[in-house]
This record gives sequence, structure tokens and C-alpha cells, in this order.
Amino acid sequence: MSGPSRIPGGAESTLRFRFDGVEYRARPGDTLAAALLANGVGRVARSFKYHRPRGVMAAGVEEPNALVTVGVGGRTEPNTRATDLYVYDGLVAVSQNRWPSLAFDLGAINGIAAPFLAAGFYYKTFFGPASRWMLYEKFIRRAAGMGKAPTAPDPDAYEHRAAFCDVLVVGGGAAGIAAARKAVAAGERVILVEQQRALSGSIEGVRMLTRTTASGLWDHGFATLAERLVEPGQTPTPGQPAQRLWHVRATRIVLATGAIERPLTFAGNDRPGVMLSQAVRSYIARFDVLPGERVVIATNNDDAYATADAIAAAGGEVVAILDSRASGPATHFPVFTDAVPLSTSGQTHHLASVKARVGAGTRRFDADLLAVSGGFTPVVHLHSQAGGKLDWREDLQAFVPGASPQAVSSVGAAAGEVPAIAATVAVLPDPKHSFIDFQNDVTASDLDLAWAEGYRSVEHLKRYTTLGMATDQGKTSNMAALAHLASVAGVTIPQAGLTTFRPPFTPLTLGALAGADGGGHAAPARRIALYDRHQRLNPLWQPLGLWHRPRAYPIGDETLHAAALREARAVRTTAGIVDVSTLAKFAVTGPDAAAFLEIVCATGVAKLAVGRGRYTFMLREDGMVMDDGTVWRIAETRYLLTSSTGGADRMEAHLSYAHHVLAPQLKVSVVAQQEHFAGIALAGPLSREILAALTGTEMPAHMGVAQAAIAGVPVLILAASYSGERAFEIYAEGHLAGPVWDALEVATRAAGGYPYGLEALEFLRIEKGHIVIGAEGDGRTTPHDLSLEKMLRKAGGFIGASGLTRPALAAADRAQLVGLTSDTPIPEGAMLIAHDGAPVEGHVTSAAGRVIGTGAVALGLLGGGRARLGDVLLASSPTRGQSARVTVTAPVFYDVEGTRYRE
Amino acid sequence: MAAAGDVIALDRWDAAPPDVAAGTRLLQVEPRRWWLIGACAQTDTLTAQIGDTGALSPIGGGLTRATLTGAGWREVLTISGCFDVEDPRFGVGKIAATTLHHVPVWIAPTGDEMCEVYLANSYAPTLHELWSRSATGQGGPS
Repeated sequence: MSGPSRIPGGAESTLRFRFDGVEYRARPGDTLAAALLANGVGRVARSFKYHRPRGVMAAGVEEPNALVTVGVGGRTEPNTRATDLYVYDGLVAVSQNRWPSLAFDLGAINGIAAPFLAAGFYYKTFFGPASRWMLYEKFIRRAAGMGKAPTAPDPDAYEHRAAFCDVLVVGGGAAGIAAARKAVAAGERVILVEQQRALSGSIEGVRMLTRTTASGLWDHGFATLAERLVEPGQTPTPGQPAQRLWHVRATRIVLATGAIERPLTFAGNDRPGVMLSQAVRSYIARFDVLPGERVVIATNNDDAYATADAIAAAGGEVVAILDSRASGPATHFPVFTDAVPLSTSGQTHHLASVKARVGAGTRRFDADLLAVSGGFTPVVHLHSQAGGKLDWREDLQAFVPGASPQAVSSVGAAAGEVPAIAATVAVLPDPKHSFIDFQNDVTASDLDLAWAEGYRSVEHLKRYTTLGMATDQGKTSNMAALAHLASVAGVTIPQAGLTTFRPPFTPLTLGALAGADGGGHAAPARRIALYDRHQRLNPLWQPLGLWHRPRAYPIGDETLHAAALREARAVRTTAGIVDVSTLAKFAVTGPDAAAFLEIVCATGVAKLAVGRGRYTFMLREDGMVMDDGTVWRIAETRYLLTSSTGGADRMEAHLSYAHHVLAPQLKVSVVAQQEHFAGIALAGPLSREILAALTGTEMPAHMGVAQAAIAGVPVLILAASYSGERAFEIYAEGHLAGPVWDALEVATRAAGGYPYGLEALEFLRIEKGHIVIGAEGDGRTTPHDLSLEKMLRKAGGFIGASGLTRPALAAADRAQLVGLTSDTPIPEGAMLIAHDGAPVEGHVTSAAGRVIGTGAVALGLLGGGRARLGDVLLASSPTRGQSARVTVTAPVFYDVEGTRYRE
Repeated sequence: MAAAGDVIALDRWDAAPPDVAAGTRLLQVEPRRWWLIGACAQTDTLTAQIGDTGALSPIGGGLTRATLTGAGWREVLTISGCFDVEDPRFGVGKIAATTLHHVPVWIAPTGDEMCEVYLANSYAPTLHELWSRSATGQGGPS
């Protein structure tokens, strides 16, 4: 018998799993790689480019070859390392990158075409006529990638958690446990992270996260840890997430991340049956699996001799130890010094023989396994991600952690406590079949070709050859590649350079990255205070930032447009109510409240009488209009400032800046009350009568304030109009506002009116020529551009006053607010041009049909627009395939004198 | 979860917070801002007491108070959070202004196995669902 097998005795194999449709048995605790080897399966994958048969090379997350697709349906996870997947009952795995089967793969023809698929072949397809690329593209796209992403939705939940600690220890080996014990003894809060299911020792007093990988180390001691609560493809416990991404903030971090053994470079070093030496020991010790019966060991260090002992103890035969050095430690196994492997021959699941150079001659060994050890690479990824420097150790032929700008230290093998190796430069008789990067099928000859074609920087070479890319990020290949590059260039490895270590250390699922932010939770939805009232009316909801607001309330089969037009016409003829709860509102209180508002608002505030309000707008420091709203003097030293919904958070930050940075000496309190008050606007020619009847109070004049009660709920009434009709904004505490809406809705309907939504609101405000922040106030417009300059406080002193004095802002050709009319619909967002092909002179910011009557109206920003009234232009939207002939007018289309809202 | 209702923001620009009647809680949420909880009946008294040294502004109409009870409340608040809610020094009388699942919140422990989380009404359904899922899976607090 040859090839991998289970060592007789031990626990029963109670788990069932399937690989490529065949059912096998596994022991609890087996990885898929161990279970496959235990069942004699050595060939588990096909390589990326040449579709060469591949086996298991490693026993940990560094595995470059044994990638499989696990799970079914939405739980399918491609490119899963068989060495990092614990078998569970019912596991289903399939091999990748083969068709029709792993045993007979038509893609293997690529091996014959290898001369045409060498380094950079992809880039070379860009040369020549474009028509050729159209041909290549189909094949390249089809060949790209390894596993296939599932098309079904992922049914599982994912979670993000925050954690804090004094010490984060990454790695549960002996060095990590020792570091954690020391920290615990010092009374520190400790988190210990281990990729495997169990630690190598016991420890108490720490938060232990097993099956967890430290995927990234960022600034200020911030680490991301990916915890698997179930294995890939496995169904989680009901109510539990499948994976959890920890956001850990640690005072200091200890890296006990170990070292990765390096393979050797020779022809056929990628065959099933070539395995890292320490991986062979792992399979024997951890899983009772003997990866081969007759074993050759090739090494450049002492550590591999321990593998010989383990193989012999497990019942295997050590055929030979090939030591590239002049001498090695004493052993009873047959040792050949100054010996390196040259090539291999293989069978389906294991090797057949190993050909070696021994001294000046060659020799062939019959063997089913070749255990290789090319030295050890400390895992410096996290250290480097945290900004740490690397130092070169000649005795290890490896980089080790150097100084770190953060409180990050490395211990154990990660710090360089690994066996020394002999620095040898191998002469490769067959570089085309000597693989450096197994996952990307990059051979020594590929590196030679890239060098010959002028790629000198290691970063360029990486991108040209794809060396060190893909899911393993070159964990087993980088040092071999650097050694080869340095050899070709005639420089040392540190001089050859090093590519950048970037997170994540191992691949993360998109689900883990998204956490709870999936589906309807991609962003938190904000629900308005009167949501239930609106929902009863079955509105069309419109997302507006995080908010969802009623867009219209269709009756029966009404279209959106028909419903909105009916609602808007009701406002023009009788009355309508609309929810304006989302407007930003700020209580500005104190003896210096007026002085503060005159810093923030560009209009006059100080002379506002108690019980009166005024339209206002605010500027950024560069003089651009930032937001607009109203300011109301509720009492002698108490004001209410309102501003736009979309700018609410920005305005809160702006007010805080003005208060705490620009004018900390003022005795003023600024409190956001956006949600404290729910707001309902009642608009229309009958609004005053409706409100007077409901409150039993005479309503104030336009821009006046009243306090009253509706349905027993205290309300603040502000006589302000956005529609052009007589109107009132009615504010009540958010959790009390429902009955107020009910009373207003009943009274409005009784008067022949309707509730109206955002669509009708737009129709009405466009016709009236009111600007909206985000459309006309797009962050690039000044008060003059928007025809607001007459309202500017002449004394200045407000934020933005200095910015406005810049000469360029007075240029006559600036984009200025204009009105546009047309007999046909005007496409919103359209560019304004003299004729097709002419330069763009402006654009349409908002457009609507007339509420009563025919034709369309729009607002736009047009270069030098205020001097161009009467011009005829084309509003053209190539992306929508729409255009309209428009006439430039003043930006007010309804009740220019403003008599209706004052009635 | 329930409407908070009884929360008033108190800003003082040149003095310490005033004495409040028994049953009223005073939580400092910013260097010069306190929240008065359960003080609505004292508004007139407090207004007279602070005079021109500060201002009271009601905010409770827009706030929801979520009460988490059970030993696992700290663990639940680590979900989609970014604050060290598990620090034992974060106890009764303290308040943290932070975010959970992108939602601005104020967390106020009220006992070893109880805390209050204040949040804007509009975000309440989002956080309620997040917590419901977490509590179901972890046997966490109610």
C-alpha cells in the first residue's frame, strides 16, 4: 500500500462527508485535508492556470493548493482551504477549476499551451488589433478565478462586536499562552486569539477567542478579528450568527503568530505527495494521519530531522534525508549531504519517485511522499500592517519584526525564534516546471522572463507575474521568489525588496465585513413620528437620506403623478396637510441668542420682534449658501431656528462649531430639537379657517407665532408658507402628535382637501420659485447667484461674509438662478444649451408641470442667467433621451406679488 | 422601549448644575450640558432658579428610552458598537454618548443588571430589531 492513510487505532470515524460526490468518513477534529488524506485521497485540486493536479502541501492557513468549494445553496463558500476547515457531519465539498471532473480535466490542455501562457501573457493580449482582444476576452474571462460564487442569497446572519483590552495576544501556541499568562498575572484585561479550535495549553482569566483569525491590525491598537462560529457551509445554531467580526481596541498587542515553513524549488515540486515537513508532523501528531509510507525528506535545516523521527514512530519508512548542507545532526536514518531534489514523478494520489542531485551525481528514490523544508518565514504580516519595520536575519534567510511605531511586539517563532538554515542558491535544470507560487502557477522561468523583459521592482514583478496574489497572498512563495529574484539580479534579498503586507491576513467573507448591515439593514432606516398615521393611508414611500417619507397618497388606481397633481391642486384651491417633521429645529436660548444667530444667519435677526419669524439662510465660510430655513422669536431670549431635512446633521455640527469655537463667550444654549417636535404643515386658501376652528383661536398673520392646543395637545403654530398659499406649520411633541394629525386630517378632508406628499410639495414649491438645498443650493451658489443678496445683512459679521467679498463671486457670468418655461415636459437635470452640440451653459435643477393650467416650469442655474430673461434654449438630457425648448424667465411662476400667502 | 418624554436639556454657561428634587436624575452629557430626567414638573422652579445662567430646552418628545434588563446587557451593547461598555468602571451615574449600528445613542447604566439607552425616536425600530435578534440568539437581556 502507498500514499496517505490513517494510522491504525485511535478514535472511530463517526462523521460523514462528501467530496466530489463520494462519501467518506472522518473523525471529530479532522480538517478536511486530514480526512481526505486519511481516506487515501491525495489529489484534491487543479491548479489555476495549467490545471495541474495538486494535493495538500500544508496543515494551516498558508495552504496554497488544496482549495475546495464547501456547502450548498446560499451557504456555498468557494476557495476554502481544506486545511482550515473542520469536518462536520454532512459536509459537502467539491474540487474546483476542473471540467468535467478532477480526474479528467479538459483544462489540463493548458499545460501543453504553457509556452503561450507565461508571465504577462494576459497583458500581451492587449497588443495588436482590438478585434483580437474581443476574441481573447471570452476565454480569459471564462478561465479567470477559481471557485464560483453562489447565486442564491446567503441565509445566514453576521455580527460585529466591539471589545477592549489591555493586551491582545494573537496566537495560542506556547509563546502566546506564556505572554497571556504574564499579562493576566499583572492584572491586565487580556484577549487571546487562536485560529484553531483549541489552544496548545490551558489558561484562565482571559477572554479566549478560538477559531478566530486576527485579520487586520490598524492604527492606534485597533485590530479586526474574524471569528467563525460555524464552519464554512455549515448551518448555524438558530438565532446565532455564522461569523462575527470583532473590532478590538487594545492598549498593547503581542504577536505570537508563529512561522511558515518554506517549500523548496525543483521540477515537479507541486505534485500531490510533496508536503511541507512540519505539515507531515502535524498530520501525524494531530490527526493520526500518515501522509506517506515511504518518505524522502529534503531540507536545509535541522528541524526536518524531527519529521523523520515522527514518520518512523508512526510506522512509515524514511527512505532518505536529502540535506543541502555539508553536514546535519546525527541520526540513524540514511542521510545524503550536499543533496537536493531535482524532480519528481507521481501517481494519482501520491508520488512515485524522487530524483535528487547528491554531490556531483544524481540518484532516484522510490518514495510516495517528499517532505520538504526550505526554512521558516516568521509571520510578520500583522506587525507590518501596524507600520512596523522589518530586519533581515542572514542566519534565517528571513525578515523578522523590527521597530514598531505602535505598542506591538512579537514573541516566539514570529520574532525569529526558528531554526537557522543554509543559504544556498539552487541551480534549476527545469525552471519551467519548478513552481515558486503554487496558487498562481508562477514558475521560476516566469520570474526569469519578467526580469528579462525589464521588470526590476519587486512590486512590478508581482503584478506582472501575479506572484504573491490571490487567496494565500504568497504565504509560502514570497521568500522563495525574493531569493530567486535576488539571485537573478545579483543582489541580496533585502536589496531585492519586499512587497507590502495588507489586510486581511486570510480571506474574509463579505458577510463578515457587512455584519448586520445587510438587506434592509444596509443603513439604519429613520421612521418619522407619524409613520403609523401615514401607513394607514397606504402612501408611496420615498427614501430621503435615511428617512422614508410619503411621496403621495394615491387613491385607487391613481398614478403617482395623478395623485400628486390632485393633492397639489387641493392646496391651491382648498387645503392640504403634509408631514414636515423631519425639518431640522434648534432651540437657541439665552441672553446672547440673537448675537449668536447673527453669526450663523446671513440675514438680520436682532430686530425680530417677539412672536415673529423670518426666512433666513446660512453660509459656509467661503460664502456659499449652506442651508436655509426660518428663525422665530418665541420669547424675549428664546428663538427657534429651522433648516432643511437633509442638512440637519450638518447644521447641528455647524452650530456647535460656531458656538464652541467661534463664539464661546456668548451666553447661549443651542439644542437640537429635530425629533422633539413633529411638524405638520396645513396649506391652502382655507387653512386659516380650518385651524381657527380647530384651536378656537384667531390665527396670526404671515410669519407670526401662536400657541394653542389641538385635540388637547399643546401646539406651536408658525405662519409660514412653502407652497405659495396661506399656510401654517404646527409643531407638537413627537410622541403626542398623532391626535393632532388626526384632527387636521379630518378637518382638511371635510373642507375638500387631502394629505399631500413630497411630490406635490415639489410641484408647489417649484411653481412658487423656492429654492431647495441640494438642487438650487448645491454648495456652489452664493446668495447673489440665488437672488437672495437683498436679504444679506449689510453690517456683515456673519459666517461667510468675508468669503463673499472675493471678486470672482461677483462675476457676471456665474451660474445664476433662473426660471424656465416650456409647452412640453422639461427633463430634470438636463443641460441648458443653445442648440445640439453647443457648449453647456447651465442645467435644470428642478422641474414640474404647472399645478393648474398647462405647460411645464422649471428652475435652473444658467451662466449670467439674470441678464438672459427671454432667451430660448434647449434643455437636453442625452442620458434620458429627452429634450425641451425652454424660455428663460424670472424664477417665480405663481402669485408673483405674494398676495395669496398673506391673505 | 417607550417614549422618554420627560427629558430636558440643561445648559449652563457659567455655573454648576442646580439642585434637583428627589426623584429627578441629573446626567452630564457634555461639559456644560446636563439631562434632567423626570423633572418636567419642576420646569418653572428650575427656570426661575437658573435665571440667566443657563437655559432649559425640552428634548424628550424626540427620544425613546430603551430599558435593557438582565446580566447580558453589556454584551448586547457590544454588538455593532464602539464603546467599552464592558469596563466595570462604567456604572450607575455614568452616561456614554456613542453609536450602535450607526445610530447615535446615550447609554446610562441604572444597575448591575439594567441600563437605559436613549435614542432618537426615528431609529427605535432599527435598534429594536437588532437587539431582538441578538437577544434571541444569546439568551440575552429583555
